[in-house]
This record gives sequence, structure tokens and C-alpha cells, in this order.
Amino acid sequence: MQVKETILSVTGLEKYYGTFHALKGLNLEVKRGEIFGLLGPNGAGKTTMIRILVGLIKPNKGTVRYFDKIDLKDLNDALPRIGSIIEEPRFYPYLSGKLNLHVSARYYPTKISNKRISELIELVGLTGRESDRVSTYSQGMRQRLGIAQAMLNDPEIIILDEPTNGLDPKGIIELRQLIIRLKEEFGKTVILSSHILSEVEQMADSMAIINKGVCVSQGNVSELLSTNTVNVSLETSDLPASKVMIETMGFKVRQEQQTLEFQTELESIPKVVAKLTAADQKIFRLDHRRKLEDYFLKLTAA
Amino acid sequence: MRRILEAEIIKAFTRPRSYIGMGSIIALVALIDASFYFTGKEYIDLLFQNFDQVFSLEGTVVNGNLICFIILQTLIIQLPLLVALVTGDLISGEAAMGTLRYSLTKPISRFKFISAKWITAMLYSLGILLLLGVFAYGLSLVIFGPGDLLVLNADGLVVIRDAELFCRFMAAFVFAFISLTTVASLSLMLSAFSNNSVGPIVLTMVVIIVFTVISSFEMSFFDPIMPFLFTNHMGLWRRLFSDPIPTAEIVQSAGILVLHSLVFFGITQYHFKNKDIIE
Repeated sequence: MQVKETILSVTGLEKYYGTFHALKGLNLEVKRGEIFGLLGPNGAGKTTMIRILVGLIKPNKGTVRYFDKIDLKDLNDALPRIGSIIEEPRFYPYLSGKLNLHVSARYYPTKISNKRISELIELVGLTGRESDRVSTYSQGMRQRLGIAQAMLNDPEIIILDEPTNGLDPKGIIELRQLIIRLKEEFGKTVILSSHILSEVEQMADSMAIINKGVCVSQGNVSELLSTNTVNVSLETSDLPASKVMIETMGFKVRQEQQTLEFQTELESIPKVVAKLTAADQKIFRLDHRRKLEDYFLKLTAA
Repeated sequence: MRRILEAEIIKAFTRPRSYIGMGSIIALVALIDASFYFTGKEYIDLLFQNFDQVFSLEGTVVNGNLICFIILQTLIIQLPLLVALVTGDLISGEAAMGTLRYSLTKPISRFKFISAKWITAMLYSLGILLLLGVFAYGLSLVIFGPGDLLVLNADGLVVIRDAELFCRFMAAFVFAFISLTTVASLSLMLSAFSNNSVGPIVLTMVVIIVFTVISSFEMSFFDPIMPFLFTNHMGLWRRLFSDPIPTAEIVQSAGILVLHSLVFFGITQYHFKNKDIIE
């Protein structure tokens, strides 16, 4: 099995805004070539962390290390290898999309050719509109121009903060395809923050859940989501009798007003249903949610 | 640094706002030239009516040099405001637009970023002055022709020969440039402290107006703060049209203005280096 190189590690990151403790010792590790999802409710600290990663904010404590050797104090050595979109991309509205890219290109130490800019315009599907003023662009077009801007320096890491915010469904799908392409076709490492579980689920290889400034869970998305354990919610004609029957199957059941709640493996649900129907219990409703969804919902509700 | 400066220049000089000041200058100079062309004699007669009994004036009093001097006197107060309109927006305007965070995620030091902004502010000030020079001096000379300059100042009426005037005007433009760089540095500093576009521009205008008003009060109450009001030194360009020219006084004032610019630049750098970009 191939061990992937750690491209970014964050250790004990803390940030205060006045007395507000935004990050409380955050730890993360991102491997090369993966799409890493940073999931958390609004206000969890995702944007603060991302702003620290790109040098917009200075942390009060903790370390950030890129490529296993570059610390925050030498961030300018790492930034030529990083591209980013922080929240929604912003441009000079009075300049064309192409000229905006030319302006951004001048901030890099090595010259970025016209050919490269034209290639990127084509990659993000803005060919034909590149000479129009950005003020005439739709939100989706700006988002794609943002990706082109983040790709100018052919970075190894692309950091995207809530990239689908404000996009219509078509824009979301297009952007999602583009992000997956960046990883698969161009081998980029993508760090993607979002407050939408399904978004991370569909794109990310690994993920971390951040809540109230701490990382509460981190791991491989498929492992986290492939767990068969589900939370079942059941409504039957006779709750106390059904509860006893399910408990005899070895499950710990909790009765909540009109429902029974218990945890089980996905494969066990038909057996439970069979047992209840055999005993003439009428099943009015049966829902199941994966643990991660419940976990995340609990976080977002907090 | 050169490439960063190029980016800043493109951003500043492609912005429509940058041309409001330039357009105003062209319009004002054209209006003043036109008014002198048609009614200049009446104005001069009115101006010199008290001297009629003392001496008589021969030659062309209304000439390009006089018009340029009058334009300078009129516009030199407004020029800093026109400059602040652009320079006060260089950082805060980007913060408000959200583009600041994009520039700063690129591999450039904040010192170089602010230095490029500052140089851009200086270039804009220079552009405004060059435009004023071309229109106020060049155009007025073309329309009204050369001639000796009559200047009425605190020492009385001074006549300056045409041959000396080019150098004096050039020196006046250099001094005005130094003054404008001070205002540009002040507005850039205020811009670094703000995340909205209008605040630093308004604040720069308020500082200039308040300082100028205080300077105009010749009361001992204000004496302790007078040396710290940079606006006091900005008006020294007029002394370049005295006879003899008080060189030491002018150089001292220019030095004080440069010092102010450097202090404002230093504060901007220090503040911006440690600023969290959270907008």
C-alpha cells in the first residue's frame, strides 16, 4: 500500500478575536493528491483556519507546516505552490476577466505566460467571454474565473473556501466536476471547506469536521461513511410491545414519545421488520440515518 | 517589485474614479482660461485699482504666467482633495471590494505590497501635477503669451521678470508635488486602517480643512500645535514668487513635509504588517 506524503499539517492552532476564542487547538493533516473536505457549521472556524493557511490572519498559537518543511513564518516560500479562493471570489469589476488574471499573475515571482492564461480561460469554460468586464459575469462565471486565478501558478495545493456558495444547481454541478478534474486530471491536492455534508461526501477523499474551533473528527470519507451502523427511528402500532421484541434481538432501544430509536447494522433492519410483522405489529414509519449524518446534524444544531 | 508595481498601476489607472480628478482639473483650467480670455482686463483693473495713483502699468499684465499663478493659487487647495479621492481608496477600496484578500494570498510581502501602493499614490499625484502643469502653464502661455508676473503678497507688489519665471514655476510644481505626496501618504495611511472606501477620503479632507482653518487663525492659543500642522508648510510654494526667495525657509518646509510623508508611510507599513485581513 502506497503511503501518501503529508502536504499540510496543522498542529495546535489557536486564534482569538479579542476575547472570542475562534480556534482552540486545531489539528489537521492533509495528504498529497487528495480532496480534503473541511466540514463544519457556519461559525465553526473553517474560514479562520483557511485564512491562517494563506497568511491573511496570524494565529496566536500553533504551527502550520507545508510540504513537510515550510512554516508560516516562511509562508511566502510556500505560497507560489498554493492557489486559493477565500469565500466568494472577488475581482476588479471594471477590468475584463483576462486582465484580472494578468493583474493577479504579476504577483507571482515567475512570469506567467499569456499562453498559460489562455489555457486556464479555456479550462474553466470562459473562452469567448474573457474580454468582457467582470461586472457582466454571473456568479458561476466569477467562481470559475476564481478557479483560473487560483490555478495561475500551477499550484500543488488549491484551497477553496465554500466554493459553491451562491451558485445555482447547474453552477454547483459544473464546479464540482471542475474540482474533481483538478484532482484526477492535474493531480492537485484540493482543500475544500463547506458546511454541506453532501458536497464534501461527493468530492472529498478525506475530511475533518470542525466545530467551535476544534477538530472533532478526521478520517477517510469512505471509511467514515461506509460504516454500516445506522440510527433507526421506528413508529409502530404498539410501541412498548415492539420495544420488548427488538430488545430481545439484542438492541438497546430508546422510546421517544411516538417513536422507538435504536442503533443497528444496516443488514439487520429487514430482520427487525420481519420479526415485528410476524408478531402483527403494524409499522407506520421506519427511517434510518447514518451515524455521520446524525453526528453532523448534532454539531450543526449545537 | 517591478511586477507588483505594474499590477498596482494597472489597477489604479484603469479605474474610472482616477479620472474624476484629472477631468476636474482640465475643466477648471479651461474655465479659468476662458474667463480671463473674455473678461481678464476687468479683473486686473479691479485688482490693481488701489495702485492706480502710485504707478502706471505698461505691457501685458494678463499673460500666461499670471494666469498660471492664479490657477495655482486657486487649485492648490483643491488638488490634495482630488488626490485623496484616489489614494484614500487604494487599500480600503480593495478591502471593501474583497480583492485585498486575493492580492495578499499571493507570494508577495506586505511591505512590498504597501510600497507599491505608496509609489502608485506618488505616481498619481505626479500625474495630476503634470496635467496641471501642461494645462495651467503650457496652455495659458499658448493662449495668453509670456510676460512679466505681478504678484501681490505680504511684502507688497513684486514684479518678476519673464526670464526667471520658468524656473520658479518648475520649483513651485516640485514643491506642490512634495505637498501632494504628504496628503497622499496621509490618505494611504488612513486607508490602511479602514475597510470602507469613503471613510479615509472624507477623513483626509476633514484633516486638511481643519488644519487649514486652524492655520488661518493667527492666535497664540494655537501656537504650540502650529509646527505640527503640515498644511502650514504646504502654502510655502507662494514664497517662490517672492524677491528674494527665502530658500532656507522653503527647503525647511519641504523637509518637514517629506518627514511627514515618511512617518505616515512608516505607520502604514507597521499597521498593515500586523493587520488581520478578516473582511
